[in-house]
Amino acid sequence: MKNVVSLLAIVPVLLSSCGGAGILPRMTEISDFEVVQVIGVDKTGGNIEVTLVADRSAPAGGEGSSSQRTSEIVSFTGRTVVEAISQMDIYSDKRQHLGYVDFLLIGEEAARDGITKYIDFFTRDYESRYSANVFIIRDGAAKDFLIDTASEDRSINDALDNIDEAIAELSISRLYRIIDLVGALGIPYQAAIVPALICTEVSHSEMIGGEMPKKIFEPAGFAVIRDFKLAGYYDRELSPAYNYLIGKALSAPMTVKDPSGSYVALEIRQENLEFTATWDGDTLKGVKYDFLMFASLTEQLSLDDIYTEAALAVIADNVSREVEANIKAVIAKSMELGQDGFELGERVRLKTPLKWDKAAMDGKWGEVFPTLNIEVTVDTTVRRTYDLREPTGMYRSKTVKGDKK
Amino acid sequence: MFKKTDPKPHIPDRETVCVSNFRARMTESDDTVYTDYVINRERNLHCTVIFIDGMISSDIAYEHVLQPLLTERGFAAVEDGRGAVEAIMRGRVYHGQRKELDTMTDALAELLFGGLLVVFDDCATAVSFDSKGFEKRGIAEPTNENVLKGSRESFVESLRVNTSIVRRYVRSEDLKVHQLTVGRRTNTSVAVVYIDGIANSETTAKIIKKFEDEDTDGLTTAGQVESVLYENTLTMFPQAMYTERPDKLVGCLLEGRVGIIVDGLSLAYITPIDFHSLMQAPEDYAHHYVLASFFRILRYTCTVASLVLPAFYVAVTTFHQEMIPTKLVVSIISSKRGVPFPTYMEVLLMLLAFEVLLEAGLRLPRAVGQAVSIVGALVVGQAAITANILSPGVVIIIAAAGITGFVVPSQDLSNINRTYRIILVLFATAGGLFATTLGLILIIYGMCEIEIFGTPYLSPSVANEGRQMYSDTILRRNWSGKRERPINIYPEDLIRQAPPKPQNGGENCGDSE
Repeated sequence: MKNVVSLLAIVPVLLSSCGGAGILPRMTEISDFEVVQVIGVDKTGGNIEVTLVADRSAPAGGEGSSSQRTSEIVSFTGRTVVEAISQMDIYSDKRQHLGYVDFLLIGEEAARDGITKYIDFFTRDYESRYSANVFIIRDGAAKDFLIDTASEDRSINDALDNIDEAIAELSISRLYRIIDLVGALGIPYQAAIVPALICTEVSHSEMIGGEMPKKIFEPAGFAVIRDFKLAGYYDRELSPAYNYLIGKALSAPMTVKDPSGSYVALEIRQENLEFTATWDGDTLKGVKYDFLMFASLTEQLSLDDIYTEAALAVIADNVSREVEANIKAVIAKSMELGQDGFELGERVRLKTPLKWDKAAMDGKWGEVFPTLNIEVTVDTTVRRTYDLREPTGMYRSKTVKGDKK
Repeated sequence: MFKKTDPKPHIPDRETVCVSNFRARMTESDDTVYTDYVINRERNLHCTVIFIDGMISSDIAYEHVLQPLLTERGFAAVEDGRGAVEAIMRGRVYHGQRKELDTMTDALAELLFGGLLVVFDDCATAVSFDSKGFEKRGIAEPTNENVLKGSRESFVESLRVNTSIVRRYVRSEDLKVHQLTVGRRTNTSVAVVYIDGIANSETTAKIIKKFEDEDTDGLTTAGQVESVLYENTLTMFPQAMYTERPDKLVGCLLEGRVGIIVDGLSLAYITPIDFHSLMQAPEDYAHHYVLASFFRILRYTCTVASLVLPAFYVAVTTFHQEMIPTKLVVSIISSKRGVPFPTYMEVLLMLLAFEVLLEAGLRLPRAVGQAVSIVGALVVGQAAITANILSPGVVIIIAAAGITGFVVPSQDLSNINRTYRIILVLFATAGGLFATTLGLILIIYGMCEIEIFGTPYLSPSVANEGRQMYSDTILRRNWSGKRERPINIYPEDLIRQAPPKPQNGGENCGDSE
């Protein structure tokens, strides 16, 4: 009987939440939400312009038909991000739900103005996810980027999702979450490196069918945020090298010459990285990166048998030199910007924490880094040639050569 | 054998056994047949044969009773009724089961149970011959507990047939069949079946006493039997398990449980039980223990899914939308576009529609019932989605909950699952996952409160200090590892088999663990 009485006592308490005044959460129908998946933030005059990409997918019409994913792009301006977003509530009969925002795009001008004021709302708002990915729009505004790259047949959300695949296969970018950015901005001796995207014109070869957007986008290297402001970029060509330096490269293609002077294509994977920091008392004398790379031969243009110890050594050497050059270019760019953008300070601190603290490097790293002696060595091994060992037609080519003689 | 201490107000005890009394008591019973015979023509000794038409076997009556009674020369020397009775009891009538009766109560009870009475008015005595021969259904395959690998016998409505089947499985003098009569008007036979030396004697005595103390006019339905057995009347959870399969009953008897077979019901009740018993199917013991364990895990998972899926859907789509992955939320929102009802209303409507379809399918003839299911599921469901009355997501959730609910072996538990499913949806509507969790806690609390003849309902998962936790509950051990009977039912002999003998140099072969 006590159970029944307890139950009867509890039910009114539970039901009291239906009006939203109870102790329990407020009821909201899922269909009353506007699902926002992409947000762009720009600087417009002295104000902030927020561009929201809301999903407008239509359900499947009947048997055999598939649902169509389309999106609606709306922009509002305000003195703050909240002020801009709140105007959306007047425009739409639905409530904007920011819990599904997967991508936060920041225009270049906003990034140069100072990134913190544009992301503060998204780090503070209880709905927004820390896992949303941040990109800087190189040479443009986020609003233009979203409008130009969207079309009726191509959802911008899906297109941005594809970045993930490019990262895995090419190592030309990386996913960078809001929480990563917040963490990087809080480290005094380190720059925040945010992946960048850029719009490019649609060429004829990219016309696949359906209604194409005005422009397409592609990874554009990494933006270096120094003192909360955009200071420069690592170009796209250096992106794999940057990823090697921070240990986030999965796989990257590379083309070098074989002993005959023809090109060979290789897939490079980072096998190992040895890092050493050399101290002289409280002074950091220098650091050394020893990379061990693993290369697989994916294509060969010549008809020569290059699967010999000597030939592979030449190819491996070429790869090592190319990788080393790219890594050094990233380091040089960082030196030029005067900011540690590849987590070197953090690496030294983790490697030699006592010496780091004793030397009070937290406060001195900005002065030490630009003049630091950084050595890089790269050792490459070619291990695989996939399905073939010798190039197609190698024996026949010898005969042809003999006939000509 | 029959209960003799139970007074029957409409039949005065200790009345003289005579035909006129039978006629008086059985007045307006046209199926009662009275036939006078003279068994000794020389002395003109009269007797009356009384039986109820349709309840006796005419072959037994004529060949084994009347023929010897009328033709046996030994009766020539008989001078009166008393002498005839003594001759019969000495074996002049070669029928195995005969009984001398000198009270009307006993005589009428025998008559009503299908006995053939030979009444001698001059000595106020009747002799009863067991010649039951009423029409009964033959043993068929179980209809509610399908079997692929195992016995295909099922209980029938006749108590004696059912007890004989159990006897055939357990050929031991320790199998006890304690028969008693319940119901002032129906005089229903109830057999309490147990294995002496295994079943807890206190539990057995309690069950027998419960039936002995039951003072009702009749015991004809399963619900009445359950009301006698159930100790906790507030909970909906089944406190006894029923089966129509003799092999399942025997398996339970060997574990130390007690079976109750009621005349007129084609099933047997088993008690004491725990919650895990209700989740076990007889085929679990026909498969390899790994397979059986997999099926059990699947069954438990499906039961929980069936219970909480609609409530979880309402909770996450109404209160905790951020829990849903982005692509799924987009899909749900697009599917709900144009649907006029809130999600909880859709879910409740669908749940009620599901119950209606189920009820209609059960009540209607089988062929029509299938048509109702097809019309309900396909035509109405599809039309409702097309007309934007319901969203496809809700239909999928309710269908998934419905299908997963059918894997529960116990129909009683399945029914309760369906009821609590609706209650949990109401909780979810009120307060999302918080209230749903509260509802689940109340359900589990209610289960913790149940105790059946001293067996905690959730044991051995609780109250056994972890002992036999995975012996035969969510998982099933192999036979060689299952040495003990369930301790939560307090069997008098805990050990059911010897430890496995080492083979092949000390290692077990076969399906050993």
